[in-house]
Amino acid sequence: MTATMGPVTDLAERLLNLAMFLARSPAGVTAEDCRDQVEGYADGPPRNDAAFKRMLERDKETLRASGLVIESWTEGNTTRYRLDAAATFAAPLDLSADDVTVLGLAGAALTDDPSFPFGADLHLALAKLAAQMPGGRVANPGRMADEAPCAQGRVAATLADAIVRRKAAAFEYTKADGGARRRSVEPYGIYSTEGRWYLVALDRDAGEKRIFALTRVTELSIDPKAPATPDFERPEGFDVTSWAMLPFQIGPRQTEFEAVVRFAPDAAWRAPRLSAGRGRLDTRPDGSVTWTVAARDSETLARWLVENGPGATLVEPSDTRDRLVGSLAEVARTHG
Amino acid sequence: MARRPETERFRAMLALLPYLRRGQRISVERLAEAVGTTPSDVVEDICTLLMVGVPPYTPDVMIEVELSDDEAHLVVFNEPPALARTVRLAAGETRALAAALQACGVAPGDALLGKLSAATGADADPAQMAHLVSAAVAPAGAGTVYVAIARAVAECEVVEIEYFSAGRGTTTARCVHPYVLENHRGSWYLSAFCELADEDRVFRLDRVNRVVPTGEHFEPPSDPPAPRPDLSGRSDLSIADVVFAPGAAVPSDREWPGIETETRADGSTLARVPFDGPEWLARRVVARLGQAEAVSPDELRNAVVALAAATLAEHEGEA
Repeated sequence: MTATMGPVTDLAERLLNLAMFLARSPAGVTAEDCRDQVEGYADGPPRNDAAFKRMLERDKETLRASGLVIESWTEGNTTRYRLDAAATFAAPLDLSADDVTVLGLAGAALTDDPSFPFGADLHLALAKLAAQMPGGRVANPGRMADEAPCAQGRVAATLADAIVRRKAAAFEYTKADGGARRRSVEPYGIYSTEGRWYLVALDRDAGEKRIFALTRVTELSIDPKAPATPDFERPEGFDVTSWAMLPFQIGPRQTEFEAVVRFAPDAAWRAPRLSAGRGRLDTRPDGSVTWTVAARDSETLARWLVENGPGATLVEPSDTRDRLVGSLAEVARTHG
Repeated sequence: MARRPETERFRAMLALLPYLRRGQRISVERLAEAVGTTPSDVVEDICTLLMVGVPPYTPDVMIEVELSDDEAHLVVFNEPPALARTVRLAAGETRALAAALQACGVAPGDALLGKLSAATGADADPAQMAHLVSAAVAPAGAGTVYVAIARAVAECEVVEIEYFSAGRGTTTARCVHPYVLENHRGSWYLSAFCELADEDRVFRLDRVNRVVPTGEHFEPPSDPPAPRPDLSGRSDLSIADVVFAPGAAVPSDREWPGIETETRADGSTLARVPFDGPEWLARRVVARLGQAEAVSPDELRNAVVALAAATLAEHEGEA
């Protein structure tokens, strides 16, 4: 060995020693075996039983989070542990050429994107799939979020973890008018659209579900008590994608109305893209597509249709369409 | 460069173990590429792995590797005493893959996600995860386009695309040499040489209807242009004057890149807006539905009139 030694790496080294010890002990080992025999525990500073047990539990949790499956069972008063090899090791994946391409490029695009909250996990996932992905990696930078990408990525990653574990969160939230207030929430889901991450959560003070832009979140903290015990129940059937609304769907509930938009036959292919899964699409015999969708802001709807035209026309409500026609005539006159 | 967290290093070393086969000579660079770290990280991790093993920590149950003097290669004398096979995907790793794929337009029900789910433990379900973490709203058909373009980029293959030009409002078929795909603000952009325009262009992927491989290949440029949708750094742009009525919402720089505004005595706002072709800006002015007037140049005013008239005709047809 000719390389200079790296810095002291107690934790990574101890975790590997523990993982190998568990893997090489099919009959199972006890916590005491680990303390007495595994380097990192045996040679560490003296610890009392409770401190050692907490340390071992944390280490086992890290192994599990890395994909290792640890079995445990009790014999008399003793708990034994071992690695479940059949469940731990990966079977080859049947990836098609297209699967490999899309995984490779998705990975290349997002592993180093600071606004993508799961970059480190993505890195490690691709490392595990590397043997089945010939051709290496492609440099392909990109950013899902352009405003404070590092901060958005960090907040989104912390919240995603709290969402999965169903842990309560609190943060300072700055509203558009500049007013800031601490919010206590039950985080249900996060979504990203047009370069911004959003949180859907129950605002405990308001007693209702709200959307929070992560660019406005600071001083985020997750309830540290009982990390393995969820703090709340998520509403049954919750789907965060149903909260990712189109611009004209934002507004008070009482203003909601049904809009009908027609996509001309040559623009019909754009209907699924533009509707983004909202509302209902019906293809008509002439090849045109009718889109029936809930809306809350008629002016924004009209503006959105013009911005995304041509080929998308408002059929209903007729009064909104009439106002749109009048406005368009006025624009033509003003500029003519 | 920030130091990697220890738990992340542990997982990176776990990914290295299957590559350490007795008697093999391995390129450090190739190893770094395979596990997604840097050669210096690999060297650091190998140094740590030399101290890892199982009791009684005698040489026969320790990893033994020799690194070449230039740290470019390593030779394995003793392979890992355990964990020498690839570990299944952890739940967090599958979540990361699912989110990354979703950002590329792959729908939650896609077969690839099913394969990844099957390769993970019972504690991860990408379909369930998609209800909690949505990296992108995946419009129907977008994933297919992404895969076809990504493959063409990887294979330097000329493809014919049917592209909707948002500025002109027309769809045209054109052959392109796809160079680079990038994500900006959640949308994917492609830089490519366009045979129709006979120059490099940027295309937004959600405006591509169809991709047809041609079987022809191209020589990629050594320094392909980045698919940046913004106008920063461009010195060839025209400047438009647009006036917003008092009280009207004025677009941000995010909505109209490069916009500079000035509030006038009567409460209206004068905006100076850089633009490439007049069509894109004309559509934005028309969409303000009377709240904005393009004052100059004339080519923009004319484009506004033409577009307002065309949109009016479309909607009058619905009456």
